[in-house]
Amino acid sequence: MEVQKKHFDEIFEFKGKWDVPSKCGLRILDRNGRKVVIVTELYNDNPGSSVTYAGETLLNQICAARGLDPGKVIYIECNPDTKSRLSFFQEEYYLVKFPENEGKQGHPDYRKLEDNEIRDLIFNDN
Amino acid sequence: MTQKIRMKLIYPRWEKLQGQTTFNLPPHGPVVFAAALPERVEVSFTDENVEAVDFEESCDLVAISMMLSTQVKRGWTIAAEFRKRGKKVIFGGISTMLHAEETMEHGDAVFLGEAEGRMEELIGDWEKNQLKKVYNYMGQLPPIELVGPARRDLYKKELYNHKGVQMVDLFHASRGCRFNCYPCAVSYLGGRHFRPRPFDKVVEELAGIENNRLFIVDNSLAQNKEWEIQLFKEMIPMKKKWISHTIEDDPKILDLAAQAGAWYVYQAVFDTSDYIKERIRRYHDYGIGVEGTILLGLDNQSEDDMRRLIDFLLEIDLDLAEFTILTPFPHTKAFDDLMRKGRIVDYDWDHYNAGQVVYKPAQVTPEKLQELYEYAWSSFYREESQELKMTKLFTRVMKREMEDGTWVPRDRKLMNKSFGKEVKRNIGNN
Repeated sequence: MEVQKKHFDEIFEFKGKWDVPSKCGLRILDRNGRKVVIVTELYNDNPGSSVTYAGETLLNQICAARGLDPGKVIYIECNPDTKSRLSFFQEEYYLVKFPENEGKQGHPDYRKLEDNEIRDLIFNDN
Repeated sequence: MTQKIRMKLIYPRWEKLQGQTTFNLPPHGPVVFAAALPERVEVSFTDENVEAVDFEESCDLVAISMMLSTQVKRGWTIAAEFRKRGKKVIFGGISTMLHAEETMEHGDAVFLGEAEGRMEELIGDWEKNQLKKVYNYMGQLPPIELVGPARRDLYKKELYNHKGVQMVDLFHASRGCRFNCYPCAVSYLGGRHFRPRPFDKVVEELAGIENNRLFIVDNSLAQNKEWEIQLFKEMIPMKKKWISHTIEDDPKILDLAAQAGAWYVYQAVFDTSDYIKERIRRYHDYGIGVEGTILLGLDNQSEDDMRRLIDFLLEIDLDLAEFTILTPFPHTKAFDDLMRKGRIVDYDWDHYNAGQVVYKPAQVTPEKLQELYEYAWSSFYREESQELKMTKLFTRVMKREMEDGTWVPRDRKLMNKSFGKEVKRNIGNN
């Protein structure tokens, strides 16, 4: 269940649920002056909370560490396929919006990105 | 002389799945927890699955140990009863960790993590009337050497006996798991690293268990070949007979496992491949029985796939099969995936029993999945009932015990009891 390096530029260490030491893959891109933060679940290489479970607390820790405004970044979760026979899931990217960053309450909103959106937003460097 | 503290330790009951044979095994978590308590704590244990909780029993402190999501709501109710009577209630165990925030609302303290080396702090705080709301040891695993022999002396053994046959005792030789399986929360709970107990501790504990039949509850034995080989070599002279999860698919290891008393294993059957067919055959070649564990409702399963899988089980000569419906337990990848897609439709933890659909499956309706689950049970056990298949496995182990001189006859005093309750016996037809 090793995650391929193509999904991230660095490993980010964060405090997960109940302060459990946790790790995720991190890539921060600049798209037309706006920061795109992509967090990648590392599965076996993450000793603590998943990126999904950590949710907004992870976004806030990344922004605090990198001097970003959580309300102004585009935040994307990547759940990579590991090509394991026991995976049972597809590789997926989600655009996540946390209501508190928009002055609201409630659950995060997840929108699965289409292939062309992934290509344009994440893998297109031109 | 230090004054004794009387702790009431409770394992809440849960609703058993309909249509399945119920066997109550002595729970492992509470007696492992009890072994970590300071000596001044005197424990009285009630497993509510086999006896009622006496809320008027005199005690100083109540501890509720929970393993399953289907226990948490009952645990909260029990806590409320004791707190009404002025008792402080502490929660711990696997499902306390999975449902920590909610459980905090129902107890005076929740303990998160592994208990070894941490109970002096908790009991000391209680003595000073300074219990903390949370004892958070998540991610801080104690040295595995601290794990001592479980307090099996706390069991009322006759309550784990069916018509004179004593149920297996539970035992663990390691913690943690190097795998990170889709529906499983073990990696969140016990760390993602395999942590074997020292062999001298394992042998000491095994030697202290009177019961010749065990269930080795380690997540998987196939974690490290050298360790597995050594474990089985240590176990051979003990002549125990045991059930376990997966054993490494290696002829040398399977042979040693058989010599060490492997009775039958739980083996996941996730597709209809030749690999699975051969895997089952290799266990059988070494005289090890197989109970297939079959998970239904994965996103890659269509109705046809599930039907094919169910039919396949009859072809591969499984000794037993256990069917479960995918259940998104908190802190599993299944939960994350289904939650993100808004596919979890039921958050009533009583329904998280792996026999009830609580989410929208990808390729069939929830009703169809429920129907397939029921079809799976009835189809597999149509020709031969679950009880009869279990009797066959049981007969095999008795034969081996007779051969090596470890067989113990049924307890005649308990022939008319099943888990503490009277049973009617139909002579010549049981």
